[in-house]
Amino acid sequence: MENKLFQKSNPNRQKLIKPISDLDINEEVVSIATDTASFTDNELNLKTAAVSNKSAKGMTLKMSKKDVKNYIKDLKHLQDCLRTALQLELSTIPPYLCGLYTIKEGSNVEAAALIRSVVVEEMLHMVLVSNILNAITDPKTIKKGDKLFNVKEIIPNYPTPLPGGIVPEVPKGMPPFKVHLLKFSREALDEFSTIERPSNPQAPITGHFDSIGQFYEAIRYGLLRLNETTPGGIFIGDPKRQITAEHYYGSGGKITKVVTYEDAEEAIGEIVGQGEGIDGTIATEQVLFGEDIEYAHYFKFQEICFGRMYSANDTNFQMPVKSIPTGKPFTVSWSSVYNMKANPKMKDYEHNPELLEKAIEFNKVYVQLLNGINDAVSGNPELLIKGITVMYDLKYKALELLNIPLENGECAGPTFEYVAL
Amino acid sequence: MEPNTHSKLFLEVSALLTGFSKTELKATGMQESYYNTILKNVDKEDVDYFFLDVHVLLHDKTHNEKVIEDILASKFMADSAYNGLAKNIIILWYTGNWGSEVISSASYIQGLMWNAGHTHPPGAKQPGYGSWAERPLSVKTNI
Repeated sequence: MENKLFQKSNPNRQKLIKPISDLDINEEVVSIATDTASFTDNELNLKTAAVSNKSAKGMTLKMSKKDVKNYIKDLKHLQDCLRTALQLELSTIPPYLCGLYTIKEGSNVEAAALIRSVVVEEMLHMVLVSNILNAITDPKTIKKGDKLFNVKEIIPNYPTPLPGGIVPEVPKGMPPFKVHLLKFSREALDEFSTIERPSNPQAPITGHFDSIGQFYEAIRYGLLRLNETTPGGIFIGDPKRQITAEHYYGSGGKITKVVTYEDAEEAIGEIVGQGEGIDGTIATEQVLFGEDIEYAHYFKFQEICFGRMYSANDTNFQMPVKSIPTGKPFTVSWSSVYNMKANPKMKDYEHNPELLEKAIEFNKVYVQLLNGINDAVSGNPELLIKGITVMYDLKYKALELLNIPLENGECAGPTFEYVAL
Repeated sequence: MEPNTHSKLFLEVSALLTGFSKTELKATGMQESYYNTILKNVDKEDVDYFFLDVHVLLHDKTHNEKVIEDILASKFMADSAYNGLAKNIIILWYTGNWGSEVISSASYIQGLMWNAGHTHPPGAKQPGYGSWAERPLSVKTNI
């Protein structure tokens, strides 16, 4: 029942995803840094307002459009970037799961449903990135037994910067952004929103990406350019390695089989559209009446921050984002939460062998889940379902840890670290 | 003895009676609820004597693990001992029931019998379609 409100078929659910912009690789694009002094302070003293204030003072930095266009050097670099994109998608899943698992049964129903829907889509994004990577990988270069990624290496060590050289802007005076594993809290929601926040087109130019969307834009330019300049194109992968809808149950967006550049563009559109939308403004008509699109993650997290759904009248999605939902309110309880110690580690539990054993059990399930996904995207798509069934166990193991009190009123939590099986 | 000492003793004796570690028992989140169930359903006199004797049993320095287990088996398990409390504690942890009554939806899910059988409480946890064809993760493959 609780999920009904967020289902695509619900006509009352406003659609807030921007379509991705058209690419023209021949067009010369110059720096788009502009004077942003016209941005006025938002009357609401909230994180989003703080961010736009800061950009008004010219503090934010991002990579120029030209640099984004030329970022990808060659096919090897493109494949490396797609592996980084895999790690990027994976790095967001543990923090979202910590937010979700620490919500006590029966409380924060709307918030839990919103976060759950985001997690499911992040899993989908990993599969979509794998499809793109497989589509541009020459089958002749794959040795028997090769895996698409290395499970041990892809697991981030929290707190971690976002992989891919993505440096989101943070309020002035704050340390550079890192992803932490936090209980469901305002801090966690701020973190989630920062991860998914759309690029700010007014931000001055620098050498790094300021959003996940900008990183994917570089990949998209790279795919298009290399495909046009390589004789025979780069989409020469084995279609049998593609994950298709029949392999993926549990839904949460659309699986795109990637065999052409257009397919890859659609897959990236799905990834970036679900996250934040690609930067640039769009007409409100497109926002309001888009048919088969869902709320982007950034806006879902905004809804939780404000304890309010977006309504059909909320159309202020111009960059930089400062839209505030005005729809139906819902209850957010920051206290009906397991008081999980931030960034738990197996090392913290060494003094308590039984607790350590629980943490290892959780991590075994986590590694098993990643192994399952890795097997599936490495030529055995039918193994994906086997991997997904492990998801359920992950939650139960996490809840066991959250029930174990530590000193000072905090409780243990899942550590999301690599362990050998 | 202070009631919170009882609660601590309850965890210790539960670990001995069930064979699950104290951490595993805590991980169910049911400790407090089960302790209260006992207070609600058992005569105060039986409860007090039970914990008094458990305290003596566990804190006698001359007792090793084997001796403690032997004494538990010979002196605590009879239906007549403390009105069958020790036996009921085992049933409580394994099934989440007191007698034939389910204590709560959580106690049904957290029954140790599901863990012991490497399975899931039907209707309450999702193992995922087809997962029954796989060896449970908790079963060591080298056995």
